Amino acid sequence: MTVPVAISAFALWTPGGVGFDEVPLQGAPGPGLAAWPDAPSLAKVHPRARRPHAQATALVQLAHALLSAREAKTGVPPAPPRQELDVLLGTQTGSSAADLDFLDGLKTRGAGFGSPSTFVYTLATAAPAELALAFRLRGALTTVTAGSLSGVAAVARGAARIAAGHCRACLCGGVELGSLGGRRTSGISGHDILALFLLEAAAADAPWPTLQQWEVGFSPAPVSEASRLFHTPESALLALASSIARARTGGAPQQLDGSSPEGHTASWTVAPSPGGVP
Amino acid sequence: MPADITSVGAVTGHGLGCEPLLSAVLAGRSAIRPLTRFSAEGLCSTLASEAPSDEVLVAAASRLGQPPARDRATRLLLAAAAEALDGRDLRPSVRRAVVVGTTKGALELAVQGWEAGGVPTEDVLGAPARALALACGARGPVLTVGAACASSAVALGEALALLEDGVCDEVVVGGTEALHPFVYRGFHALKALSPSPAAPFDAGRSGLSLGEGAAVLVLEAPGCARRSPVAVLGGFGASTDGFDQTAPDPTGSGLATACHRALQQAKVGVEAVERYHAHGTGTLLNDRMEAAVHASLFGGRDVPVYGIKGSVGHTLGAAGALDATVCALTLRRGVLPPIANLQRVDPSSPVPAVQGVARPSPGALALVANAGFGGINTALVLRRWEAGR
Repeated sequence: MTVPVAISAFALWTPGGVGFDEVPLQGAPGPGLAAWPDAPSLAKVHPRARRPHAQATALVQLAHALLSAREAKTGVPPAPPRQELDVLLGTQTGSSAADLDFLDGLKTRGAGFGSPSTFVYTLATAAPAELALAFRLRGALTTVTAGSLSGVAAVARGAARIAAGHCRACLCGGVELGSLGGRRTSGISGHDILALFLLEAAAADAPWPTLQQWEVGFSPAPVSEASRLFHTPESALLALASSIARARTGGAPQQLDGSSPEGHTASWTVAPSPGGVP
Repeated sequence: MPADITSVGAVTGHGLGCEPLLSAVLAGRSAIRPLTRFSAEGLCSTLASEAPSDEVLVAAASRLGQPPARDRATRLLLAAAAEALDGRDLRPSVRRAVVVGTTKGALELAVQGWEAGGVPTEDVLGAPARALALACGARGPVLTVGAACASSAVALGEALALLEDGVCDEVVVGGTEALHPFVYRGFHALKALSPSPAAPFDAGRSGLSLGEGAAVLVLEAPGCARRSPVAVLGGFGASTDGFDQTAPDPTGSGLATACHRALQQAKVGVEAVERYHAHGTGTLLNDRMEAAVHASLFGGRDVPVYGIKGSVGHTLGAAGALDATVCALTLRRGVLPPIANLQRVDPSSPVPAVQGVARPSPGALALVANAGFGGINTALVLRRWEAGR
C-alpha cells in the first residue's frame, strides 16, 4: 500500500519567533524560544494539566495552535480526528532541561527528596505525552533520535507509517529544548526549536505539498561533498521547513539531502501542491 | 508482514547470555538482590537486579572489534549484541538497519558533564544505537526510539515497519538500560519501589524492583532468513491512554487497543492467543490494569499469564526486548515459565498466572504487552517458528 502523504500544515517556534506555514526570521541574539505573547493559555487548552515542565507547556501551546488552525480551515478536506493522530517527534536533546532540574533538586534537598513531578518529565516522551493528555489522543506516541537529523527522521518515519496505511495522520517534527531558566542544559543544540509538521493521508490532488520521497540512512564515513552537513538539529529542521514553505508557493519539487556529524543521512523531496498555494 | 527472529542475545541480572536467563526464568529464580553499584541509603528500597560488572561486559563485547564503550548502557547493549551477532555474516553489503529502544541511553555521560560544571555535548540518547551500528556495519537507518518503558517494544515494531517498507533486509534491534542513581532516586520519589523483591500479581505485592540489562534480536524478512528462526514476530500495535503521565488507564482500554492492533497486523483473532506475556511490573495500578485487559480481551478464557520482572526486575527501556527474547525462547521450547516471587494471586486483580514451576505448553501464539509513563501502550504478537509455515 502506498498512500500519498501531504503536509497539510506546519508550525515553528524558534528564538526568532513563531511561524505557521512559514519560517520565522532567524538571527535572534539568544538561544531560547522567543516570547509568544499570543500563545494560547494552558489553562484553556489543557484544563487537566497539573504542573507540566516548561517544554511540555510550550509543545502543547504550539500543537494546539497548529491543530486548531487546521481544523478551522474551510474549503479543504476535513481535518483528521484527533483520536486517530499518531505523534512521532525527533529529539537529540531529549529531556535534558528536566533532567538537570531533577538533579538540582537532589543536590538541594538530598537524595531521598527528589521532586516526583519533575522526575515524570525526565523522559523524552513526557513532553509529547502531554499532547496526548491535553488533546485526548489515542494513536501511537514515540520519539526518535538520529543525531542532528532526529526531527527529519521522525518526519520520514511518520510518512512511512501513513504511506503503509498504518495511520491516517501523524504529528511529526522535532523538539530541541535545552534551556532551564537562563542556563543551557545541552550543548547539542545551539538554539531551541519546536517544529511540528502535520502529515496526512491525502488524495493525490490534495491542496498541500506532498512528500514524494524520503530516506534515512547511516554512513560512518564522510558522505559526498554535494551533501549538506547539518551540524545541529535546528539547522536540519529549518531546512526541512524551508523546503516545504517553498513548495507551498508552487514551482519545482524541493529536493534536499544531508548528513549529520554522527553519521546519519537523510534525503527528501517535497512536491508543490497541484493547485498552487493552499 | 511478519519477520523472522533469527538471533537473540541478552544480558541481565542473571549474567551474560540467553541460556542463564532462560534457566533462571524457568526455575522461577530472582536476580533481585541488595544493590551494590551505588548507595540507596535512606531510600524506600535497597534492591535491584544488577548485570555483570563493566569489566565482564567489555570482555564479552570485545569480539565485536570495537573500542570499549564509554557508558554502561552501551556496554550492556554491545555485550548482548556479541551473543546475538556471533557467527553471523556482518558484511556491509547486507542492507542492515539498527533500532534501539532506551529511556535514558548514556545518561551517565550527561550527568558527568553537568557535575563538571559544563554543558554535555554528547549524543546521550543515540550513543548506544550508534555503537551497535558501527559494530554490525549497518548502513540502513540507525534509530533510537523512546516510548518510556515500552521503548524496545516500539523498537521491534519499528524494525517490522522497516522490513515491510523494503528499505533493508535485516534489522538489528536492541533495548538497553543501565541502573543509575538518578533513575533509582526518581522511582523512590514516585514511591514506586518495593522494599522486597517485586512480586507481580501477588496479593502481597508492594511495588516494582528496578533492574538493568539489554537484549538484541536480529529480524529478517520471511524467506530471506540466513538462519533457522527462533520465532516469528507477527505483528505490532501501539496506542496512548491520554489519561495520566504516570498512572495507566485503570480500564486497560488503551493496552487492549494496542493488543487488538497487533493482532490485526498479524492477521489473527484474539481466540488464537495461547499465552499472555505480561508487562507485570508488580505495582498495584499496573497489575489491576492488566487484569482488566486480560478480562476484556479473553472474556474469562484461561489464557496463561506470565512475566519476567519478578526475575530480572523492571529494566525500563530494555524491558520490551527482554520480554520478546524470553517469549521467543519459551515458545520454541514449548514451555511456560512461572512468575518469580508470586505466592498467591491477588484476588482483586485475578489472572490465570503461571505459578511455582514451569509447565509444558503446546501453544504457538503469544501476546507480549508493555506499557509506560505517558500512557504509552504496545503489544507484540509472537509465533513459534515452524518449518514450512
